[in-house]
Amino acid sequence: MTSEESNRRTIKVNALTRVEGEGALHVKLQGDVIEDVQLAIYEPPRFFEAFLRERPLEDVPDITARICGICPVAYQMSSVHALESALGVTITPEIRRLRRLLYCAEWIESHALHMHLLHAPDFFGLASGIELAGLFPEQFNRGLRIKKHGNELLEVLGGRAIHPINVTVGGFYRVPKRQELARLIPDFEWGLDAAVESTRWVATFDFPDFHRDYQMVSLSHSDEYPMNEGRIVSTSGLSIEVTDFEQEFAEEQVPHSTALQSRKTSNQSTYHVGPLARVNLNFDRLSPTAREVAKEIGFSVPCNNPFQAIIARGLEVIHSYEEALEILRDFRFFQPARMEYEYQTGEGCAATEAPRGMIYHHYAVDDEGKITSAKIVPPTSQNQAQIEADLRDWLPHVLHEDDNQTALACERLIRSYDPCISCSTHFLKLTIERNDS
Amino acid sequence: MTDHLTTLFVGLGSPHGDDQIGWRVADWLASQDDLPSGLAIRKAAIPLDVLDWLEDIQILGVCDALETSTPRKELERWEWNASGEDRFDRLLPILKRTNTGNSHDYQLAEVLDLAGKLDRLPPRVVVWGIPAVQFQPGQPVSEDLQENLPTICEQIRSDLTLR
Repeated sequence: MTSEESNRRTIKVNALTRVEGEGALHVKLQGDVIEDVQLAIYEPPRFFEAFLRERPLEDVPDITARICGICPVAYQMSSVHALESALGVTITPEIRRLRRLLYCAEWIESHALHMHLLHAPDFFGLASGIELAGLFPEQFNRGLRIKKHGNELLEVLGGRAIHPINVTVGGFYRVPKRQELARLIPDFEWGLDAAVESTRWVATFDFPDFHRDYQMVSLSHSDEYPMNEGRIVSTSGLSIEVTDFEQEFAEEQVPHSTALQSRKTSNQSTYHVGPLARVNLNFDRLSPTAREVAKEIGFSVPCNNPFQAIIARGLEVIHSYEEALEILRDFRFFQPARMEYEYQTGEGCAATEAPRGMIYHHYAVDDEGKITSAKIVPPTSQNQAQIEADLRDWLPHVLHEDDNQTALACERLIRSYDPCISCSTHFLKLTIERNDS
Repeated sequence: MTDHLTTLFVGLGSPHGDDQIGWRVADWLASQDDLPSGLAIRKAAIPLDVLDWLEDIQILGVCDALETSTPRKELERWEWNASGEDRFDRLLPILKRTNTGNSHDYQLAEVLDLAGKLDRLPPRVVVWGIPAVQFQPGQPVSEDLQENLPTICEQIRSDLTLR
């Protein structure tokens, strides 16, 4: 055996958990040099883009919602906006506002879930949210109740708490009665205060001193915090129409993962989407209370520490409650619930802001209302290359630990991105090949 | 169970195939005339809902489909009692090894563990797992299970009314 062979160390993590799907991390070292970092998603491809073809376009919102049980609204919103673009449909301001309310609901439940059950345990060296509940019952209960509010609003407005069924091309199948929404106001008033307390709490966590020179990307709108509309902007000065997404960003297949990875087409660079990107790029359009709390806790932009994304999520929960309350208080029943349209051959695309970041859809339709092609780019696939790059930079900070501790440290970094997740216990199986010189 | 105790029965389920069985049992119980007073019957789609219903509850009974590879008729049953030998911390690992099939949220065992951590777990808890084999979206309850439903319901009712 040569000295090079004896210096090689491989650490393998065969199965990640607490991610939507299954993945692994493989790290290869030669001495202290990181030779390779691979974040491998090996869940079988789900073929949504393929089996949407030839289906009626009206099926798309409900089918794409099944891509994720935690962020179905993101898929529904992106799909209906893209299809409305293809059909030349313009929605009313009332429908537009109700869609923002639906997105508020999803941000509240998704962010609350991630903050309290999935990410917060990492800051205390705990294996699960259940363990966290034992140490911080008041904070945990508060997080559960916040999540429940999001689910309740999804149920009232979306027809169901998980995989809502009330969204359709042109608007909604049914507009709720005023009283159905008004009865949520007391809970949401409590929730706004609770979101402030939760954000204050997470701001006290001990964050690793780790900063990255990210190219952050999100939607941006002149009048509002972005959810369903806007231009695509970045911290490196990009500002493009959504219709130019595919010129600017491209997905590619990598040998070690069934999930595609996204990079900028111009220079193959990675980029970062998600709440941290949104807050960095749209801070002045956060709600007044969210901005006040940010100032109080000393959070300012630019912030490029991925571990502090939990604070960005907290600020977005505050914003979502504040905006939701405004809509709930002002709401008046309206008709029509949805706009009429006629089938025509066409193409349309849209980007909206899922809890985990910008999501892009592109559809082509024929004159019989059938889908002829579909392209869906979720935020998690856009972040994958960035996560690998982050890990490459993070590993030197943690490689002095044993393999188990190194794996945990890598999990915590990945978890800060909130990759589409179902609650579980462990998530990262790490393999590190070490070739110690 | 004596009349003055506060008892909650929860049927867990979803619209998919045999996963409806917990709801069916709850519906059947709710239709009976001779159940003890102090018994509340509820249906839940996710186990986490149960956490909100535990205030002042002394006895919790939960019924859910239990995914198995081969059909069988016998109920699985777990019980723990704060004052007895069947302590929660001994039975939780066993319950955690069962598969109640929830993929998007905490499973029942985790919710009960959470209830314990949050000091909400009732002094006595009974869980019935009904062996089930098919969970296809939009499908009805399988024929064998549908046929066995009256027996299951009587068994659970008998358990609930046992003094």
